[in-house]
Amino acid sequence: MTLAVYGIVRADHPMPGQPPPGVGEPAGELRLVRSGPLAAAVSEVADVESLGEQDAVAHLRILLALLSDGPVASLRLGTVAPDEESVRTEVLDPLADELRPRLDALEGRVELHLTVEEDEDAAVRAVFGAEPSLRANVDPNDIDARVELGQRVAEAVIDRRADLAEELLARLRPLAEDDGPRGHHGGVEDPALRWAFLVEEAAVPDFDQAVADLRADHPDLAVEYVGPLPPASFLTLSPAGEAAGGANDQEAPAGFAGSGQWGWDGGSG
Amino acid sequence: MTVARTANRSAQPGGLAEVLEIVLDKGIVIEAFARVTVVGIELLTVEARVVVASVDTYLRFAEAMQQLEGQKQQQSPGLPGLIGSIAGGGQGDQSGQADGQGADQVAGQESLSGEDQRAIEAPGQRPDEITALLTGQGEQTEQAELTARGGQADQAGQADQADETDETDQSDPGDRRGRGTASPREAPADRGAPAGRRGGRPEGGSGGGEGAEP
Repeated sequence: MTLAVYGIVRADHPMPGQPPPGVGEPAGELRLVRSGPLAAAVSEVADVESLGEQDAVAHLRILLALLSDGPVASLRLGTVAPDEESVRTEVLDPLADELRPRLDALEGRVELHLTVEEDEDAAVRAVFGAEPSLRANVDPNDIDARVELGQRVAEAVIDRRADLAEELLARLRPLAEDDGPRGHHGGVEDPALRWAFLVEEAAVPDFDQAVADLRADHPDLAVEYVGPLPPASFLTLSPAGEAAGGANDQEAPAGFAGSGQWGWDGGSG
Repeated sequence: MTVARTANRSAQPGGLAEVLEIVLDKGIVIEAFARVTVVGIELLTVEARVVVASVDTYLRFAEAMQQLEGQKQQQSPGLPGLIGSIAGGGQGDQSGQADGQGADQVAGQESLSGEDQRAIEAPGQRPDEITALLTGQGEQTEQAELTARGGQADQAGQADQADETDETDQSDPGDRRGRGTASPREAPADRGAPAGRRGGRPEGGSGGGEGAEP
């Protein structure tokens, strides 16, 4: 028997009314393994040599189902244990002291994601309108000159995106308890904004309205607005010697858990 | 602990990259134990999450800018009195008024600069070529090359203003004539007006290419 482990909730967390299927084929039934103040959501899997896209979606659906009854901490996709005992001794017990208070602190709060993309065509046209100095007639055969012009246009696009992002954040931040970037944004090939907000449930309708207003004011922007999601961006643990950054920040040094700073240069690598 | 659904907000991310961000990048990693492990993830799309700006991007931008410039120049002299008489003394009549009036040309330029974005976004002025160029990201380098060469013919008037008089016989005479007459007049206006307005900042290559004009 092998167990796929999805996430950790508090021990008194109820099972979802209609638990989504687990990962793997055939999909196992979701259940909670409790130990002390925590519980892990697990399901049995037969073949776990590797997981694919469907499994990633299944993992997320389970987290979302759990989230509707209280805070949930996501485990990395693909975490497996040979039996319930190892889930208790190697997952729940070592995390209990730190994770339980974190989950308590996240009670009544959800994570909302906002991804704002600017059409590249529109971005270049905006630069064309605003930067007469870039309206150059470059020899079509002069690759260097064209690249140089393109670079200057790209810089202007990036500057404008930074301004846009500041404007959007200024509107949304007052409604959130915390916020931070989610990876690459602001570059010429990136969304103008990829951001996570930690919002009190009671404030979600206000946030919805703010996003609706934002969309109305910027019909040219593609705004993806998702939530509520597990507050993974705001749940950083400090395992094994690392200070503020959690294990989940290892792949994202520009993440906001590490330094508390999230300048534009950091995210737009 | 329920959050009401709205049409405004999605319950789940639309793309796999966003899903992976939550379940893979942000998930707690259990390590340094003997029995709990992490199995392999087979996700072909993972590498697609990293996008780096490249020379192709720059070429695409430069191409788009030049298309816009060419389009603007084409429109200015292309509709001599028509727009001018309709619009009155505003942004669109630059060319109409400019015919023979240097001072008005300057004013037209100024207001155009401010309103360019709107003007450019007018439906009729949007070149399909640019959209195609911007969306086609497959073989960008090659495509950019091809576009550069292919575009040369119809861009001749816009890109090669400096020696356009030599090429007059190669392209549409009417169209050509329009550009040919506009450019020399634009040149001094272009340099004079913005120099004071913009603190001497050169107005891009449009001035540079016209230096050879009589």
